[in-house]
Amino acid sequence: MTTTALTLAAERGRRRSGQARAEAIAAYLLSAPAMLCLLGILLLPTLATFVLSFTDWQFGAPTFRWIGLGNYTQLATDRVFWRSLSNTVLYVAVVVPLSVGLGLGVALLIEAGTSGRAFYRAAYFLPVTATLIAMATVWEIMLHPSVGLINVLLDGLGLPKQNWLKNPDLALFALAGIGIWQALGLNMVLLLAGLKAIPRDLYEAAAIDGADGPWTRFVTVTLPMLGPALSFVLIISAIRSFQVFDTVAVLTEGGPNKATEVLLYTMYQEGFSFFRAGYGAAITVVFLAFVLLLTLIKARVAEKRVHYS
Amino acid sequence: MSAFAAFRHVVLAAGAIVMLAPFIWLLSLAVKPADEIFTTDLRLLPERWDAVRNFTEAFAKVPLHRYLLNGVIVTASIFTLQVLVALPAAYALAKLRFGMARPLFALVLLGLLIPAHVPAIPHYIMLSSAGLLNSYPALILPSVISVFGIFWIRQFFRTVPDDLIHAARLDGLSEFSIVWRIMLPAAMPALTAFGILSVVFHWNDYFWPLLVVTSPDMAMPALGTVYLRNTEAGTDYGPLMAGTAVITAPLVIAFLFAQRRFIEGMTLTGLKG
Amino acid sequence: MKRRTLLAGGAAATTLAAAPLRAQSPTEIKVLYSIPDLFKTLHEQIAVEFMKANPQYKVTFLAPQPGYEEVAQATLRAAVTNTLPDVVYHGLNRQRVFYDRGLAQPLDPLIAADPDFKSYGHAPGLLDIGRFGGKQLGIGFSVSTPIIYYNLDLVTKAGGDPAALPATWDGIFELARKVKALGGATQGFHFDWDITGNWMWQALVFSNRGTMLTADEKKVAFDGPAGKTGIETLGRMVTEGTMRDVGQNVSLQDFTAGTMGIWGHSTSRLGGVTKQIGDKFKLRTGPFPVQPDGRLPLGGNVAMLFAKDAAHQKAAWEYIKFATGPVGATMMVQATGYFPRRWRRPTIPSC
Repeated sequence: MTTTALTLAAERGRRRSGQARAEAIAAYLLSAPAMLCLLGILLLPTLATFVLSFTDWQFGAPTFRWIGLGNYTQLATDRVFWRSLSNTVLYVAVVVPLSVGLGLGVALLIEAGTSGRAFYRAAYFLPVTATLIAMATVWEIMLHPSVGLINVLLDGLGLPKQNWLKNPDLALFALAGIGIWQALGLNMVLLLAGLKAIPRDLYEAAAIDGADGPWTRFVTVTLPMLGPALSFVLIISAIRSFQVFDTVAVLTEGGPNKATEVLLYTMYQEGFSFFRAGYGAAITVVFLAFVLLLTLIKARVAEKRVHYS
Repeated sequence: MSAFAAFRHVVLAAGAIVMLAPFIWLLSLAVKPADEIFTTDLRLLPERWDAVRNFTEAFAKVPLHRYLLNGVIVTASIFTLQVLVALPAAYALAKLRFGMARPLFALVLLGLLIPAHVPAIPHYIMLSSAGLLNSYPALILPSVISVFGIFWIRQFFRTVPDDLIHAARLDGLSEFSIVWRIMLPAAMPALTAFGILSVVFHWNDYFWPLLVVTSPDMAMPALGTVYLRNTEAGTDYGPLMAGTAVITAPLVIAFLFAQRRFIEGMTLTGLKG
Repeated sequence: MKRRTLLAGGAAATTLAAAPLRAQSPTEIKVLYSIPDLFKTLHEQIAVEFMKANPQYKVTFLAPQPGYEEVAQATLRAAVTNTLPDVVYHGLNRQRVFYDRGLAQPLDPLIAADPDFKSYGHAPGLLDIGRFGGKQLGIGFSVSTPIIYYNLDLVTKAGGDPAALPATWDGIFELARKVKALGGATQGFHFDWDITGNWMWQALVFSNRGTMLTADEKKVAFDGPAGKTGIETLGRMVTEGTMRDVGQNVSLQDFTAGTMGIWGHSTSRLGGVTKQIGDKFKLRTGPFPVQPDGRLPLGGNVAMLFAKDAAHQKAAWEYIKFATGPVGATMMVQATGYFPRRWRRPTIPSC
């Protein structure tokens, strides 16, 4: 009797380890394409970018030299690079607060009433899905110095017309305006989700405690509860706006006088217009470093969200 | 209507007008003749309709239909391949036990940290050496791996009850069949959102097509708009706007028909970074 | 035995039948050009006519680049990625790069082997602008010079004499001030100094008897008196000539809309601008102010050969001859304001 039980148990064990092996083999086969693509298309080329940044290779050149940190030291003294970086940071500094702040305002207003929600949500979200290059072309006409819609309206209000895209003091802000227009809807939708997640009874509890006015409710309940979602949206907005490229490439090409030169555009210019692949790779690494920093902050913020809920 | 309700509508409507203004203006300019475009008289509807000329000019000047066709072909191919690669891997990571599970997932998380533009230079070099520039493979291959897709679908799969899978195994289904016959249908909600994210991103992409495309026949929608812009540079804005309207239309119309799905999908960009 | 011979016979017959079909697949000539808003329709028309006359060839166009700088960039990149087109239309001032790097294929062997070439009647000037180091690298396709456009309606309204347009900068500035004084949205004058290759700046230098480089090309020469006068003139355009800081797009729009009196630009836009203006106002062109013994630089582009293998070189050569020949030139003059090929104005090439 016991021998049969033992044999049966051994059989089951062997079957299970056989099963386990079959499972593992299946898993390897199923994940093989992803593993290969991950290595070949994403990770190795990224590594290649790093390696390339330590060379002086130019597109089409038959040879190259290892120059260690040469590209990076050159970047450190490159005026265009620093202008580019500061422009990008300035762009982010303008777009993020405004697109998140306005997005929050719109989300609050939409949630505050019941009529027209679907319409407003669609209207504010539409710019997010539209092809930015195409809409940038429309914006260009709207910003035309003499007959553009914006300037005609300004003129009607008695304000001076501006040469938005050719004035070095205004160009970056004009592009930031377009960036805000495009980002607002996404931030609004993310914040709407955050607002909806706030339990109603918190407001009731606050009302019982005497915090009844809309402003007090906002400050004592909404804002704290929205805190994690808000931080999350701020960081996402920063990561996205840091990668600005389309509007610069099409409307200003970095001009006038590098007033709208941004990091990705500089990378594109150096790498593909000037064929300096090594230098372009170095700029890419700097770009990656910044985005990585922002992404790691995002990960920390996301963790806090999980703990909150 | 209470005072607050009125205030709410006034503010939201004013903002909505600003948001929609470029779209409305786009359509307005697309049907106007040249002299009505370059005037300071603000008018929504034209005095003289020139829509027919503008649209026929636009189609005659550049192969608009080709840009849209390429958009469909490339985004559909990319999404299909992304699912083919990501779904099995996500299942393996979520439901199966194997030695490489942890390292693989760690690599996926690592991949999430890398923005799309970082491998661009090596991709260009690889495609150029293979003689594949200016072709569908050039537009499709670099995007076949979507670490976000793997991550997102895996998270979703972890919520799928194991009993479903055990039952399928008892029925004699191989792991491969389980992936495509059981998990794929179960993943539809996640796949819809991911699909929208993928299609919208690649339809609107300008950076990569700018690098690899040199003939008008291979252009994608965003690049095609720039080609149209170069052809009409400063001279004929009517056809330029008409062409731009045609290129923008598909996504806008799709959005209007499936708003909730679009919004769901696009909010994933938050997780994707 | 019988079946095999039948099969073999059948195979031979099919191959023979298919052979002429295979030979008939047309040789593709890849062409790249720039400034599509000026040239797209023209190039497409020329290609259609060429293919009608030569069904064994097929012309396909790469996506046209916005300007001469970009098309030079694109060609360099194509050289590096081994995707060079067969024919590229380069700006006159960009040929040098392709001569220096040995990328452009000399046309001399093709000309020498071609008895037909003389009959096309290419003016010597069109060949001269494409000669470098004794080699024929480019053949002139379209050539233009700087010129001043006038809106005669505005000029007359401002009190100017349409029959006696100014020949000096002072005269132009004075007229511009009068036009600007008409008020409203009317602009007086604009000078497109941002045209590719600093061409209009070169015009200011050459017209004042200067040059860009010394004759041995070792030193800069535009920092002499001619250059100084040129810079001063540019400054005076703003201080005395009512010029604003706007780009070419804007000045083109302003002029064709009829809100600008005087416009300094290239003859290349004459055809297009005339069409756009229609009968909105009366258009006239006047001379670009030139000092005695001063000259004006040529602008425009040449057709250059980049194909390397014999078959494509031959095809590309036939196309280049056609496009720069009498048929192409006639179509060009009708489409733009570029000179007919047999021009005789004494000018010097821009470098």
